Amino acid sequence: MRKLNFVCILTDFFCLLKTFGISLKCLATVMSNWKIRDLLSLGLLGLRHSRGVLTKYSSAGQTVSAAASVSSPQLQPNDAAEKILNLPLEKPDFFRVAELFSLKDLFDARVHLGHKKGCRHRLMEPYLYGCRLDQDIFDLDQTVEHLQRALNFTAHIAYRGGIILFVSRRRQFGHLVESTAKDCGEYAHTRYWQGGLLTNANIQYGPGVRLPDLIIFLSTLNNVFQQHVGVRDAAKMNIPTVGVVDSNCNPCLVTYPVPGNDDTPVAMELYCRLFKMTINRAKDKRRQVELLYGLNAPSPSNS
Amino acid sequence: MKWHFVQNVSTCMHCSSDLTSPRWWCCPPMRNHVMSPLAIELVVPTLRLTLQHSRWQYCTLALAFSPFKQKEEEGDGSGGEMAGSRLERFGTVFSRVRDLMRSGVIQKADKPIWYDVYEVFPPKREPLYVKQQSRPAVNKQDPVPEIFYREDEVRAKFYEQYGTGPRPLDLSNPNFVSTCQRFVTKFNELRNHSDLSDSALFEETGKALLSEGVVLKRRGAVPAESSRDAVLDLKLTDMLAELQNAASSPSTHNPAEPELPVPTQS
Repeated sequence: MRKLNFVCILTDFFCLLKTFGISLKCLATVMSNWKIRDLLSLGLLGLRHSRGVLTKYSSAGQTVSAAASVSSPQLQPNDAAEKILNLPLEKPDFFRVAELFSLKDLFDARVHLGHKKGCRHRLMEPYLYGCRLDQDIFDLDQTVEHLQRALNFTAHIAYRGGIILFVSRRRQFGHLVESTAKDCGEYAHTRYWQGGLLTNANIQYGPGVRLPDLIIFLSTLNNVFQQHVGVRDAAKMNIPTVGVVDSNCNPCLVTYPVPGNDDTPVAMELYCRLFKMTINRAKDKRRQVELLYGLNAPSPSNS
Repeated sequence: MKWHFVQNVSTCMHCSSDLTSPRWWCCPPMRNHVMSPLAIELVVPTLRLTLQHSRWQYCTLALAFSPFKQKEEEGDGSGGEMAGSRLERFGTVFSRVRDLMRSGVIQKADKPIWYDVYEVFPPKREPLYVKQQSRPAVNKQDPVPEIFYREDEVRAKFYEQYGTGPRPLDLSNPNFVSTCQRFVTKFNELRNHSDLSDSALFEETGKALLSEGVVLKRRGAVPAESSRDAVLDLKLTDMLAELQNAASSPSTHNPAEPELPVPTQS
């Protein structure tokens, strides 16, 4: 019985391999070293987590010979996929987001201006340079660093094909945010945030909804000067966030906060432009790298 | 996602979809559905005992294995909940996912896209939740310092004496130099060259600017009578009297044409 078990598993296995175009030869060499689970996970790594139902064809256990007819396809689709994904992680600034802006740009866009001293949030104190006639001034050196990290993270997520959601409840900039998202090819939510949008997505939007992989808050407050529900919900659903935090905001739950002004139109336009440029850059880079590795692949697929 | 082995059964006992050939099917979501080994045995009633036993082992093995258990974020119709931790107040997003992966709740295949990126590029501060503390009554030293410059003393005196100045501030121009700023620069220049006291220097700067063409009006002095608008001194009673005079005397004039009273003298 045990032998039959193993054979059943193997046949299924071969059928799987057939769908992913992995050769038997490769399997033979690899099987000895890898666990079954790891092998399959490798197969999935290159794909953007295949949607659709994966149908496994089980030959009824007796027809093992069917598996032998697996053709010889690409030799290293897994390696290429892994390389594509890990390539940007090797350099500190692969997408060169630091070149997109300078401290002077931030100053000219009045990013350093915060709210009055009375509105200050306790947790924003480390990001403030000082207080000029009761108005909080951000430390732009820190802002530059935080913004670089945030843009870098965004670029990597966009490179990996993640879904990015822009959120802002400021009516003044609703259209700007939506058009920014449209230009990137990503998503925006600038209207009323329903309570279960992230936490109850399966019921509200049907089963099997794909949640965003990154949420960018262009203002972390809602219209009643309380923290936007999305910040807490994203933390609940284990979704990283990038957020522009003003001096009256709570930055603790935002994964990559960017301390800066979120009220001035110039500042908001600057942020939107920067995010749009990083995302487009990252996507273009991805297409480039895919083409490059597609050309480098030695044997064409025969499956 | 749960897998049911449905060989030799015409319809799936759970989703009632029609099955023509023996194959593995993924059923549409069954919330809170637990596929026990016993249930599988019930699904395949017609097999021989030995084979059934082996298939059962196969099924359970495959279920335990379940390499294609996909995230709920995938649009594959899975209603099963992906393992996650909704405790935003304990640890960070990264620490929770890392621990879930370490314990095996989240499979390597289900690793989130951002995980590797976060590992290589962590944020400057870990996004831990910080409890809101009730403010103590004791006012500790203000951690945010006030920003003051040496020129602020000069500026303060300038505004006190001259008000905002003759020219309005143009904030749209980043290189704009206001009257106050010119005053301050002139003041500093004079201070470097001469050794007068501050108040004397102040007067000197005022004179220097006057020579350059910038007229500074003192705010404290009462403005002269002549500067007042002549209209302000008009009295309505006087105007009415004039109107009546004008109406009564020229009776030969057309009364239909109303003449606007022109204030000849106040």
